[in-house]
Amino acid sequence: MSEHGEAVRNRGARRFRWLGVATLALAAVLIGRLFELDVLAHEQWALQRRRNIVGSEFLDAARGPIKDRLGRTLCHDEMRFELGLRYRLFRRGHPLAQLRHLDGLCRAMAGDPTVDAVLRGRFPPGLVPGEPLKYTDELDRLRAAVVALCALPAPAFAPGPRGSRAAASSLRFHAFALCAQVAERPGMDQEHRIAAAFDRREPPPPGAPERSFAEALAPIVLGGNADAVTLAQALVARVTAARDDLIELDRLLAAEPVPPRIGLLQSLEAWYGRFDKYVTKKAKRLAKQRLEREQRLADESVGAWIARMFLGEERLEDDDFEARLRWRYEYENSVQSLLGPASVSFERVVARVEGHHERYPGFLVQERYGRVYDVGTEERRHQARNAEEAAVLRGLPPHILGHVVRSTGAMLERKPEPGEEPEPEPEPEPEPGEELPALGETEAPTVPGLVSMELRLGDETFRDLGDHLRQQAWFAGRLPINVGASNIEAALEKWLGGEGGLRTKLHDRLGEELRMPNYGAPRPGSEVELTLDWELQVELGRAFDEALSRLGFGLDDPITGSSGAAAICVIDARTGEVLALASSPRALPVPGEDHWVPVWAHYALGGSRHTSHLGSTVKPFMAVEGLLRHPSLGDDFIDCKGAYIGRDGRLHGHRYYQGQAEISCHAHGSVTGRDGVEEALQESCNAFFSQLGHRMRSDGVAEALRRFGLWADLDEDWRAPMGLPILRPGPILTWDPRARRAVLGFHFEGDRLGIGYGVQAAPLLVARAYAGLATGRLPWLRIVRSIGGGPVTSGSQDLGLPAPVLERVRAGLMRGIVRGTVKPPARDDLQAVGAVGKTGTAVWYLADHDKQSNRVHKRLNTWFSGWLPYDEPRLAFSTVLYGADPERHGDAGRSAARVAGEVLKQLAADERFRPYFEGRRRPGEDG
Amino acid sequence: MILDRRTRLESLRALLAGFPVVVWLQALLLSGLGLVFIHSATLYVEDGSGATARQALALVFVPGLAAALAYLGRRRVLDLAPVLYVLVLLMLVALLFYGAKINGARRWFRLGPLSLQPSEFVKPALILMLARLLRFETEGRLLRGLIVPLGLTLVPMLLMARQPDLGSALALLPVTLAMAWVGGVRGRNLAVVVLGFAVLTFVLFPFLHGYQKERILVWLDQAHMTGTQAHGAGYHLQQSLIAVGSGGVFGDGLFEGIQNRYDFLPYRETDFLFSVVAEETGLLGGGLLVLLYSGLCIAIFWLGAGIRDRFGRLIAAGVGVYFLTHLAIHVGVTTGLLPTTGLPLPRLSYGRSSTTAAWLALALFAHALVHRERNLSRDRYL
Repeated sequence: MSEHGEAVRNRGARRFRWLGVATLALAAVLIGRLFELDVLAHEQWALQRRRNIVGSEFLDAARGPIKDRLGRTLCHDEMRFELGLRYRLFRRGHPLAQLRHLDGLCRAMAGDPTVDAVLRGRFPPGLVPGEPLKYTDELDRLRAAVVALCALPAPAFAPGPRGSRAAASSLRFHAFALCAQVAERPGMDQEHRIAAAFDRREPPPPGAPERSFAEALAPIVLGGNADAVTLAQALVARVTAARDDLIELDRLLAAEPVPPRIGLLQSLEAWYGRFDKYVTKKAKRLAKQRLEREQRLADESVGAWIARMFLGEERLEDDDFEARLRWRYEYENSVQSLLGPASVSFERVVARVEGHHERYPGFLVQERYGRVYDVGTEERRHQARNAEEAAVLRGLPPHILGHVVRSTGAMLERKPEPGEEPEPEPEPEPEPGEELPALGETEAPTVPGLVSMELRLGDETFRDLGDHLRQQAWFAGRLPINVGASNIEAALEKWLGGEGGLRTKLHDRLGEELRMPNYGAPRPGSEVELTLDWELQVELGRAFDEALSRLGFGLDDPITGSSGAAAICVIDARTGEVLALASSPRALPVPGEDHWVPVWAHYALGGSRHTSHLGSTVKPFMAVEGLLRHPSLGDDFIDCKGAYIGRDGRLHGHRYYQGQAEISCHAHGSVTGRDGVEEALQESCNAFFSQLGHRMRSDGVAEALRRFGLWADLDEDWRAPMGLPILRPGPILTWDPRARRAVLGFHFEGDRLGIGYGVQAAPLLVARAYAGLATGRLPWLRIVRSIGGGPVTSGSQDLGLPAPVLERVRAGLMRGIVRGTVKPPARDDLQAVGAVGKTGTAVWYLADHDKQSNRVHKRLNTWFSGWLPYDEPRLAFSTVLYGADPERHGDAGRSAARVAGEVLKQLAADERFRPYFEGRRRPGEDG
Repeated sequence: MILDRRTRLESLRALLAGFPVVVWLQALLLSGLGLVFIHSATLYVEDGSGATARQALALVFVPGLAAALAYLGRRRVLDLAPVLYVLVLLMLVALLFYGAKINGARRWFRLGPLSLQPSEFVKPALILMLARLLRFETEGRLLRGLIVPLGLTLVPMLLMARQPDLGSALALLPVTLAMAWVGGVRGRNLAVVVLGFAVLTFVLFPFLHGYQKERILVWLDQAHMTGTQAHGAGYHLQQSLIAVGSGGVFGDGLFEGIQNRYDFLPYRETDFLFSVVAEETGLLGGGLLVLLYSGLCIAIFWLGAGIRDRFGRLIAAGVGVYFLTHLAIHVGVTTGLLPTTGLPLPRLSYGRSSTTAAWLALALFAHALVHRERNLSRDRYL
């Protein structure tokens, strides 16, 4: 070989060497990259992989049921589900959706000028003439659409010129997907053959008719010598079956106790309409943005020109198209709720949908528990139907019950004073034929931790709750049942809520579950038994409403323009268990109605826990304290001359000055002498009790009220000074003059406090105080009897009052019923049921001055509180009418006492409640 | 009898003289490993269990056939070169009209149960054609040594890009450039061409398909991939990186790759097979595979360097770079070093066209060795 040849050969060998070096370098780079990924960034990628495959699902725990004292279930949890739809999966997998989209695409291509004119002429305006195809169309129309699809020319599915490519591609996709559903053996090979048939664009032989879609596809899809008719029949059968499946699911849904608002097909149609609007709106906005950007780029410099040249326009188009795709994808891929949450029970529908994804592609079932109210359902339905009437509806649905007794949680959560323990109570003496509960019964184990729970209720909570529920009502368009976030459900959440479970699963790329490595079962909540007697609760509410209606109370006040409000509560006089509470008005807020807010804001919804001026309601407690302090009570009192009718024809009270205060007494008879305490109670004599207060001074009055739980010092925990659900700290009085001034703005002394001026309390407190008068023991109020089978701590406090003192006071109260401040017809009603109690009238003045009569209008808080039966107290009650008009409704003896009398009489007439009025236990009522 | 036996032995030895047994064994080893990982990649696919069997069946016949082809006469092989080249070009043209469209691309002919991917056969055909063309170009002339070969390469490249199969099209270019270089073209001419292609790539970028552009943009900014991109244009890249990176040093174990088993890896038996390897065998397995494959290429280059005749040497360079390019692109794509494109790893990935083409290329290499000019002295001096 020549030297040149040798040189060439050597150069070739050298260059091979460089190739070898390049190979080694490449290997080093690749291994280095592997090292980076597998070692340096391994944790990051391992985490990503975990996120890929591991999904977790929280398992709802069933909330515990709530029962009343007779064991009647008020509410419980049932497994419910939400039916959702992932439209993208539905569109790509359901024959109806495919048909509908084919229709839309055909319409689009028929009107697309970029489509070849000859081809465009072959497209009908949609698969069927007339309106676009809908999910709600009748079967005949759907069948017609299938037939029209089969008649389309095969070239229609071939990729067209630019501009219609996307539409043609979608057309082929949906047509292919539809065919694949009736294919005998759908698989990769057949898919290829179908795709090839779509793509074939050979022109028909001259003179021969053009092959239709069905003719071209039938042998491939169905095999053998299947013809177009057979394929059309198969497609019609598939579409019919798919529609039947949806209708059957719809029928199941409609058969549920709480039917869905609209059917499935209508839901789909409505969703598609919204989706269409959304996409159109987005597309318009994008187009506008693109034009603006193009204009901006066009106006810019050479750099902009280069950018446009290389990237600009293409990127802009891509941005536009891809952004639309992305939004469409995201919107289609999100789960749309077809039916309202927790509206349908579990088994039947789930059994139909779960595991049958080929029949219901895109449908999702989400399991969750729903709160079922076993009582009051009819009432809620009525409210939902009639918004106007709902504002003044009577009855007490459980969720409103939740509002009313929200603070009962606070009763439970009372923090005991240091060293305070529930008092061990002696067994009451058994009386033949009666099964009264033992006072302060504590034998059964109590719920651990109950008294150490943190308080979390207050005005702010209350307002937040209102806002929250209002939002719920507006957005959800349905009655708010905010289970577990408020009310008694929230107060007892620790026990009712249970503990949710967690299920970890591994899933593949399509989300199909492959394995379940971890499963933490949910722990259901405990059962809670309330002290309420639901039947009594319902009847009390009804009777209360009727009584108020007869009185004419509750109508719009001509002066204030607002409705009057009232409340009544009934407790067990011996145990302090709340048996029933009612308020007026107490309608549910009605979504979308303006009157919702004022109704909600009305303090009467607070009912029996709202604090207000007590007026003469305090006098029995003053009498007790007076008798304890001054055995010769009344000896040196100025005689009261009682009220009189003046020259102006009006009733004037006996006026005199006591200390700095002018006292006015409207007693109807004179009250004199050392035996006048009964008479003073009978006539509710202001002169007597103001003199008594004057002598006891403010701290003495405070002591009298504190003894019965009606007084709290400001420096104490105002929320639960005695385990009571007081909402507002403001009106609570104190003996501290500075605090009093701060609260009320003027100075009170014992003479005014003694007749109830400025003393405020909630009806529940008052009822409990009268229970103390009736039994000599002050019970702990409570509304929960047991949790999870364990009774809640109960107890009562011995007031240590001598029997003679109590007897004199009780006698005075009875005289008030028989011939005192209680006026007919209440007098007869109360005597008929054996009730005894005291009226109380607190006056407050309206701010607006009446120019015509040149006087300031006044309104009354009228009270009647007491117990029954007189000798063997079983029930203690308190009634209050807030803002009564003295001219229309009269004072307490004519309004509150009348309402209480009518209510109690009506209840007593009901055989179910007779045991209460006879001091016995109701059948089914255990200890 | 003894004489007969000796004669037979000597005949066999003579027959195998020059045959690249080591390279053949390396290739068989890689094919065996490929079978294992194809099995792993299709183990949990509902209708994918037949892939391993089909690939194994191909491996039973193809290496033997390739070995036989190595013994075709040089003249016959040289005569076949233009015929094969034109044939594959015609196939590529026919593909545009009659090819089955799968996933938006026309890359396959459907032949009953079989499918044929002509672009895979372009590679050995082009190597053969270029070797035939360049065998007398000792001067390294620009036109005949570089421009004409590039022209011969661009024709199938454009046809392949039209399918579109950009990955395979681009893989042709390094083969041509390497063969031209080994053929004697000056380095600076090559550098100009490479630079020209780089500029051309930039200029042609706007004319790429939307998904291709998006993939490149996502790849450039892969550290800040958005959720939408991770489910769209960046899905392949993201899932492949997860598979490779989560393998760690030792991997999850054979057949235990989570990304593989749970169907997150797309095209894992073909274009992303290395991701399966790296996930299941980790850095060790992946690195070993890279070394094995590189070893195959180095062996080809080593043996190629010893071939005295230019035709054989050009064949060796073309075949070695063909494998090396596929290794670089396949592993580069799966590890995020290159933008996503579909390119199988010859011999390892599933695909009978790809496997057959790779063995045919190796047959060409064996042919070059078997029919090489013999050394007349041990010091290789002539």
